[in-house]
Amino acid sequence: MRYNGFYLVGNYPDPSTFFEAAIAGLQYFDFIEVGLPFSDPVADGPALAYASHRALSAGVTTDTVLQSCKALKEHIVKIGSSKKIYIMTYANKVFHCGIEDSMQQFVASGIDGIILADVPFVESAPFADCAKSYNLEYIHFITPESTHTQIQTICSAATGFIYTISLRGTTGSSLTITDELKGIITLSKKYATVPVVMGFGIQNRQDIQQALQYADGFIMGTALVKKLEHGVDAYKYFLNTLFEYIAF
Amino acid sequence: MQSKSAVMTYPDKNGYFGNYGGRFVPETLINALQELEEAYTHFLKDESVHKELNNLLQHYAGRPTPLYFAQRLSEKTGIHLYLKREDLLHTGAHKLNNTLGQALLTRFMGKKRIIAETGAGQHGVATATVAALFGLECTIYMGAVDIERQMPNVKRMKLLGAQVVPVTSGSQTLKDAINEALRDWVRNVQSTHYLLGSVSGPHPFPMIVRDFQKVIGNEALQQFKTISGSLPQYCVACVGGGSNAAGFFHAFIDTEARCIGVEAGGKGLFPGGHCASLTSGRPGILHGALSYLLQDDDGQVMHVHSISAGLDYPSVGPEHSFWKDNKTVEYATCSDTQALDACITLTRTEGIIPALESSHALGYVLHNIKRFADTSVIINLSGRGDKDLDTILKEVAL
Repeated sequence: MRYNGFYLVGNYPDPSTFFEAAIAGLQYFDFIEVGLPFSDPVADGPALAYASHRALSAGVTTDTVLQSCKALKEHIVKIGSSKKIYIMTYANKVFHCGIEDSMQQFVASGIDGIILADVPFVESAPFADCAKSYNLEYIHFITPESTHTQIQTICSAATGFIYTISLRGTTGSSLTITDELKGIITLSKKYATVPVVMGFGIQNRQDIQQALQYADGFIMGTALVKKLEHGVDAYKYFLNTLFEYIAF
Repeated sequence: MQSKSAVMTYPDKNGYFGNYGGRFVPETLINALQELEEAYTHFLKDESVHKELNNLLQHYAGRPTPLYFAQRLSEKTGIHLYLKREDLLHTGAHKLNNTLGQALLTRFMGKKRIIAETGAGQHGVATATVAALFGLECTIYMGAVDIERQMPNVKRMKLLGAQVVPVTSGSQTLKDAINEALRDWVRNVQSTHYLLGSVSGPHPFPMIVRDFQKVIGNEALQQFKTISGSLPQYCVACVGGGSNAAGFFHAFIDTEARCIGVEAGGKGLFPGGHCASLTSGRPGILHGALSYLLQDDDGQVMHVHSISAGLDYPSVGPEHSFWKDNKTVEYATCSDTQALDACITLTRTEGIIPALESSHALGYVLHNIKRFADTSVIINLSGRGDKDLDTILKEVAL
């Protein structure tokens, strides 16, 4: 049940580069997480926080990112693919204009699911219930801090996939697969009926290979966003080297 | 409208004050918040720890602080003005009431390191102080802009042994310092307690910080009764995150006294010109809580301004949002200039240099003299102004 994803900041560094990078990435990955930049991204490390601030300074808004998502979905459908688009953002971006209105807008833009970095399971009901009523997947997190009972509860509520945060830290940290993490993934896989996907800290081929020894998939973000800042060619070259000779 | 006494039973078990509050943090922090809540529940039941805190508040911090009748200023204005002198508390502001309490919780949880955000530096100093007192490692996050304008407090924190980390992202003020403190907490959650300084942030902070600050209002109420045998007509406090106001108002909410929270009106109520989140914001989610928030049409948190670093924050504690909606407390604004004028007036009439934060509470009263004429008003003088000398002297010729 392989399910690998990648994260890009919506319309960053500019809409056409983002679009080209998204299409290139979807040749390798099963889903894309499109970041709706937020002014105060507390779950992000310096690289993604910087990218979000740059995007906002360049005038990126929810509407412009969703226009790109809609075009991306049209492309995915056109080529007969079923790959998915998730929106990754912070609670206020969905809350401020009304949760229901946000969900309607997501559905109309071809979004398949949402991931909210500052909404823990205990606060997720208003968002998750509304998402489900619009047939959107709502993604929950499991972390190294999660207890056995929490893992069981979260897995039983899961739709789409389980986002396993590999470490105590922000995006862009370094990955170490500890026994604790292995234990959490094993437990998640025991209870989950959806793929258990590992994110945070996955920066290179070695990390990917390690992650896939335990999880059903992995998510790469910071490393790709950093490459894209050097141009779409550098980004595509990096993608190619990541996946060359590896059968996922 | 709910009865006033019903209003006092919040937050509910999920950490909500009506529609406001909650725990909007990354999943990684949820169990740390739970652990803190459990430590607090234990604290509430433990008489010996209560005694220890009361002992520290009395002999170390200098409580009770006086309730001072400002005679000359009262004669000048025709208002019976009383000042609750939190500026006389050790370290120069009300912040120590909370940091002493949370230091005891830190010890109970067995954590050896504390981190904090600070705007004006008062909470940073109060945190560095308890770190020294309890032998804890301490890191303070402070916006680079605030470091510049509150240098005396930066030096005090360093002298006390804290590491002060300048935050250069975003607006480089309190909001960005909180972002960095939260990131630190996610990384070091097993060893570290985030000693949050206001009634903001995720549950249980708004409850715990308010409870540790309730001593202000409880004392003031008894002191006023002793002096006059009655209740004041008005209680006025400045509101940034809102901890001094919450702690002060709580004792009066169930009485006939009218509580007024004064937000920073800055240069005027235009976008980016002020920090009056309750007056001009709308509900939003920032730093763990759903509360009134200054945000743009796209849900981005706005840059805000106040002459006072301690009020320079785009949101407010969730209990204040609750009190605003159910009209338990009235909220108003005071501009930069009105606050500065009030600061100078108090300094030269009573020989008390107030913090620019507290000057907002006084400034609102002094600019609405007719409303308060011949009434009794307690103003919470939440801090002293030594830290603000550079800012004040830029505006005032000697």
